[in-house]
Amino acid sequence: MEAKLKNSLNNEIDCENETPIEPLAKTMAFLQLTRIGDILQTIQVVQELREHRPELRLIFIGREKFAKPLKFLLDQVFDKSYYLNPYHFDKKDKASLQGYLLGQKEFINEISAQNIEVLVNLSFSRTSAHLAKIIKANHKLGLVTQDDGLDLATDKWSQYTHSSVQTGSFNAFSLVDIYRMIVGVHYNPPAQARKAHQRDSKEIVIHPFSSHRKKNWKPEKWVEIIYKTLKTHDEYRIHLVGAKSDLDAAEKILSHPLLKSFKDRIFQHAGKQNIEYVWNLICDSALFIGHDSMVGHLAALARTQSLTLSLGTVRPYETTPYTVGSYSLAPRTKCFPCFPSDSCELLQCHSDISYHLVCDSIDQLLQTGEVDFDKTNKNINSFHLATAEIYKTIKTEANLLSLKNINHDSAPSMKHVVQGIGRIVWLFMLQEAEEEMSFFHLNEKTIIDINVQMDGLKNLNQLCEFGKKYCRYILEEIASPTVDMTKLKDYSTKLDEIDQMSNSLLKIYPALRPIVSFLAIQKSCLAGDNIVQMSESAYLAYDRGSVLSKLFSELLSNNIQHSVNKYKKAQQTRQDAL
Amino acid sequence: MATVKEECEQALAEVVKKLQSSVTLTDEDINLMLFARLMEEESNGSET
Repeated sequence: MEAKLKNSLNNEIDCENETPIEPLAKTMAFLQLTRIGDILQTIQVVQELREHRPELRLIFIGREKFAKPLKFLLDQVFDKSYYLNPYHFDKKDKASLQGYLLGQKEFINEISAQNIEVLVNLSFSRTSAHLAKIIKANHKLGLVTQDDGLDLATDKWSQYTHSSVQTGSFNAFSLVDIYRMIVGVHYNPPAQARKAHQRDSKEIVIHPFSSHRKKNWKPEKWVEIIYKTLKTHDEYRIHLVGAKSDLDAAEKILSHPLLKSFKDRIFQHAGKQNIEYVWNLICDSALFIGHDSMVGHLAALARTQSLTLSLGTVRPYETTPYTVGSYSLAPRTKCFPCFPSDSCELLQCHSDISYHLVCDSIDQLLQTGEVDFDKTNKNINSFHLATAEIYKTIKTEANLLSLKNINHDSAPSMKHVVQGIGRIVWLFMLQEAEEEMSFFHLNEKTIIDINVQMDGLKNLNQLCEFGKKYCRYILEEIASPTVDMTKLKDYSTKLDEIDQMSNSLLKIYPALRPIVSFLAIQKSCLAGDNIVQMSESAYLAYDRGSVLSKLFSELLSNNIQHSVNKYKKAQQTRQDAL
Repeated sequence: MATVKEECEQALAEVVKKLQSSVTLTDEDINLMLFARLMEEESNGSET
């Protein structure tokens, strides 16, 4: 006995002298299978996470062709990166489907062996959902394929992305902020861009290209911009950047007779340099000008001030480079933004941003680092201002990025108003956060358009209340001593009818799409294993739908009332003056 | 690759039958679906 006690005491003393075992660092994996721009936006979020949670082990999984060129940036924030290339899965002696599948399984097993605590899928595609399913992790955020083949997201902001970002153009959040809210990272306000006029550098980077012809001007328009900029600012030099596929267009710009006398101040890098070179160039530049592309996101990471020309399918709120104090010019064309599948030969939105507006914006940024609308109004014909919006990126009280329309004469459309109000509603519902927003100045047409949508909101609210009622009936029937299966079936059929009617509202009331889609997603991933739990979950989903429609309705109504009161006051003032 | 593509289509047809009969998919099924999508996207550049 004594010997045992001595032994035990000796062990204790030995333990005291030993170095304590450090607990294994928790591992978070980020899955980003989309393009370079999306990877750069992911890096911006993970940088913030790295700063505030340095103890975490961070892993990246992306497609080789998009992620490998960014290895120099990925290595700065991630502990390990995996590059997916299905052609590499083929084992030499197994050139068959089984060989590929085995190679792919080994690749995924290697990732799974990292003991991942949380897997975050920030790419909203079926491919990424499949991959997220088979990588082993204790918790998963974002889209994941289920056992029945359906792709579902259970976290609120991923559900929001599916209902508002994927389905239409009513989203008013930057994608970077949506990623931040999915991950749960909102420590810092968005970084401030370094103003062009304060930089010692006299280099300007221009990327006049994009991934789709709808998103970029023809080269001839850029020739005029470059000519005017070099003529007005004789101390600056311009660097054209782009991919190999942009080489022809770049040569077309350079060879234009108008630029002949500026050849010593224009440097053509398109198709000649890798992304790391472009990154270093942008870091040392005063200003970036271009269309929506990954180069703009590089500029944001480098905190270089940018001026983006948003055309075609581009949604300025979502993809304007994520720094405070940058600018985006967007057309007021009715069909803007469109979808890639929409056919368009006219490209009216391209004409609605004038060369005069772009040149004036560049001039002001190089002189003062700001675009002042009053100066713009004096400098260029109001005709050129009537067809475009000038957005400045700002920081909000919730430490998010937003766009402020600096044209205080601009009359927003119904879509803009619903988008803006939606920002307040969704932030409150999903994040319990608040932001201040001034009332929109509504004209008569917009008030009429909004009133139409308000009817839809009332109908949707009623449908959601019916949904709650039938969920309650189901629960009451189940709780009764003798359950009538016919009644349960009837109530369930009623719920299906309610969902169908909600969907049919979208034909007349397009502004309801985010709420209807969100409700549909919530209904498709009801919590619970039995009818009681699922009915309770459905009740809560309908309740959310009801609250969302009421919030939208109230805020829109308040804005209409504000505009009507303002108009009456202005009328009264005019009458008094007479 | 043409043979692999044909094999893949045949194997996917079996998975589709499973889905239609509400049979639970296995990790092997999803591994196949993933591979099919990756190859399609690589060949037509539709990764978004």
